[in-house]
Parts: sequence; structure tokens; C-alpha cells
Amino acid sequence: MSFNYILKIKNLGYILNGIVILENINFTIEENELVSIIGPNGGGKTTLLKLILGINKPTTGTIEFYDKNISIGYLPQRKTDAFDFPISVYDFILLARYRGIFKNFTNDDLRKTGETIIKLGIEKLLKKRLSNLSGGELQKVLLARAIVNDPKLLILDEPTSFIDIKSQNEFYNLLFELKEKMSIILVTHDLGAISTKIKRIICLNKNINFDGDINKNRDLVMNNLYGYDVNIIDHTDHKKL
Amino acid sequence: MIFEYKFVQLSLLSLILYSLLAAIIGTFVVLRKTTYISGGISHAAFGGLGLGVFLSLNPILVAIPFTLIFTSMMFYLGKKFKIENDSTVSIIWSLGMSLGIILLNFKKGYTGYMLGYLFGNVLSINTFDILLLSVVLVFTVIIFFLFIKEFIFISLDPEYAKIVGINYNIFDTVFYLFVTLGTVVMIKISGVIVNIIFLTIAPLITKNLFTKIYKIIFFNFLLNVFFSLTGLFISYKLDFPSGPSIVLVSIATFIIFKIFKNL
Repeated sequence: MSFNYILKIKNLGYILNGIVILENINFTIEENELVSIIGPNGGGKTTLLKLILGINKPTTGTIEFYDKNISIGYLPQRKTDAFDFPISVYDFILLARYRGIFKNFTNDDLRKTGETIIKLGIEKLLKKRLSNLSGGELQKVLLARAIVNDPKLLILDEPTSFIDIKSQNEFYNLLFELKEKMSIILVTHDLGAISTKIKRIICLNKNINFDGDINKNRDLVMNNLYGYDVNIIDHTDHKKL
Repeated sequence: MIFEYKFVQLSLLSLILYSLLAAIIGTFVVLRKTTYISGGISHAAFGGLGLGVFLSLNPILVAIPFTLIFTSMMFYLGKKFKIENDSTVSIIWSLGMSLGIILLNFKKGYTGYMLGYLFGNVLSINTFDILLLSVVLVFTVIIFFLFIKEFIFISLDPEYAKIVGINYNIFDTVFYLFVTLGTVVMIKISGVIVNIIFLTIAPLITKNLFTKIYKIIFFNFLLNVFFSLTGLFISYKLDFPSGPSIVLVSIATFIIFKIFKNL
């Protein structure tokens, strides 16, 4: 039996302390699809990701994966004081190969960690402490942790918030390479970097008010989402789109 | 020769055991940034010590269940009434101390106990204290080394720990259980007030030097032994109380480390 979808969300709702955070969310993510979720702060983007990841449970609706044992990679939104833990880059990535209580890391885990490090070109960082990395380096390391298990679904929460434009471009190029092997959900505010490159964008503000290619009717979609006219600038040539 | 005295031998042995216990628990207290909560637990124990003295039972044996029940109940109530965690800890901190002082006040002639439990007195350690310390140490070593990956994961990134399938709530509870056990059995040595310094100073130094948890724990142990023995020597030579002397040595070492590190 073959499935062409990775993730199917039906009538999803989430209420916290009596406040509706998400309501009536419906969408499907297909194999090797790269989808971006945009929306204002407090619009429920991170909450939606946490529901997909199983960190929180939905109040209503269902989240269905093509396979119950699906491997999901996750790159979390960064907090300023996170990751000052005394651990080397190598051990940090290896730890994500955790398989359960009393299960030691195998040669396969070591090999896979090595391969991922090479794939992302971060060999020079192996012995560095996590806290000594630059913003761009840390994002690559977090991405390495997210993909070390060859996930079928990769979830990224504002991955380019703390990195410079050069690193951002490198990061997006990496994502497009990864898309060949996995489906990707990218939450971002960085409309300038994604709007011309990603075909499907979901606009989320408590509910989904747009799902598709925003380039066809950009101004109207942005106005509906944020409530005012939004000018989007492409980083690469600094032109208003 | 001073080492011929049994109380000195017991004190030295307790300091070695204590140094290892503090090295293991303190590493995770610092890495999980739970110093304040652990301080609250240590102070809550004072209520249990007071209850033990009041009931004429072994204060440490009463303080263990008292602290576990009292802190669990307070955190439960804090959650139920939506009180911020740090405010709950402040309440635990002062309520535990107040209960202890009031209960001790009922017993005439026991105010001397108060100073001993507040600041510790390693020279008052007896064979039963050593036995209790050893039992808690053995369980701590077994649990923390058996589940080292899980404790690293919940300290490093609690959210990711849940994603990879670690039962965060269980390991978080086990962690606080051992912080409670550890801090209570260490009270006779370091006292409720200075207890938390013993847990934190060595890891604050070693977490800057190493990236392997076993190395951090091992060097915490060595540093704790150094702090304890040097503090005890100063206490003996200058007739200072032992607990505060050990604290002064550890903080002086930390300041020297910071100065050299920033040069």
C-alpha cells in the first residue's frame, strides 16, 4: 500500500486556558513537499508544530501520519540562553540517535552522525562547544541534529531568525537539497527569502486564511493575514516584489 | 595525631562520600539551572528537622519524608492555583524555615541544634549518618549512571527529550527525588543554608572546562574533596565552624578561577 501524503490534519483545534489558539485547521502535506507557514506572532504557528510533534495534544480534530512510526526531525525556535550546555557538537548530534532506555549507541549511530556532519560541511566544528558557535554555525548543527535520523518529515521553526543574510541563503539552499529526500514544514517570518522560492505557503492566524501560491495575489493575501499592506523585499537583489 | 580520633576519621570519610554525592547531584542541579529550586528544597528540610526534634525522633529520618511530601504538595498547590514556580519556591523556602524554627522553639534547650542544622557541623557525624549517606550515594550512583543519557537529554533540551520519546515527567520527578534525598543527608555536614553552595560551585567551574559529563562529575568530585579538606583544615586551625569554612574555600577558588579565566 502506498501513500502520497505524509501528514493529514483534519478539523484541528487547540484551546489553552479557555483561549482559542487554533481552530478548524485542515491541510495535507505530501511526500517531498516544502511548505512554509507564515503568520503574525501569536497566530498559533509554534503551537501547530508542537501538536504535530506530539508535545501537546489537540483539543479537537486529528493529526494523521502515513506511518505511525514516522521519523520526524525538528529544528526548534531559538531562545537566547538555550544551548549553553557543556557538550561538543558531535555528542549533541549523536544524542539525537537516542533509541530508548538501556540502549547504547551503535556503530550505525556513529556512522550516521559522521555522514550527517559531512553532508552539512560542519566537520571543523566537531569538537567545539555548542555555546562557542556563531549563529549560522549553530543553525547548521541544529539542522544536523534534526536530519540525523533521516526523517520523512522535517519541521523547522523560524530557523533563520538569528543568522545573517549570507548564512540564510546557504541555509535555504540546503533545505532545497533536503527536500529531495523528505517533506519539510518551514515556519518563518522571512517572507522576502521564501515567497519567490516556495510555491505553497500556508497563512495562519488562529485559522488558515490562505493555502497555496501567494505570488498570484500577494498584496491581498498579506493584507488579509496581517491587516495592513506589507512590502516584501527579496534579500538577494533588494527589489520590492 | 589528630587522625587517631574516631570522630575525625568519620568526618573525613563523610566528606569523601559527600563530595561524590554533591558532584553527581550538583552537576545536574547546575546544568538544569535549578539551583533556586534546590535551595528551596534544602530550606524546606528545616521544617522536617524541627518536626523530628519536636517528636524526639531522628531529625534526618523525619526530614526525608517531610521534605518529599511538603515540597510535592506545595508544587501541586502552586500549579493548581497558577502560581509561578519561583514564587512557589519562595513560599516553600520561608515556610519550611518558619515551621522548623517554631517547632524547635517548643523544645527547650534545642537552640544549639538550630545552628548545627543551619550551617552544618562535620565533626558531629556519627556511624549512622555515614550509613545513611552511603545508602543514598549508592542509589544516586546507580540511578544517574544507568540513566545518564536521559538525564543529559532532559537537562540539555527538555522539549527534544520529549520528542525522542523520553518520559520527561518521570525523569524530572526522579531528579527532584534525588535532590531532596541528597540535600537532606548532607545537612549535617553543610547545613540547610550553605548546602546549595556545595552543590553549585564545583560544577560552575568544571562546566566551563569540559564537554563530557563523566569528566565534569569526576573533577567536581576532586574539587569538592579539595574544598572540604582545605575547609576542614582551616576550621581546625582557626577554630572556625566547618561548614562556612568549606564555603569560603570553595567561593575563593571560584573567584580565582574566574579571574584567571578572564585574563
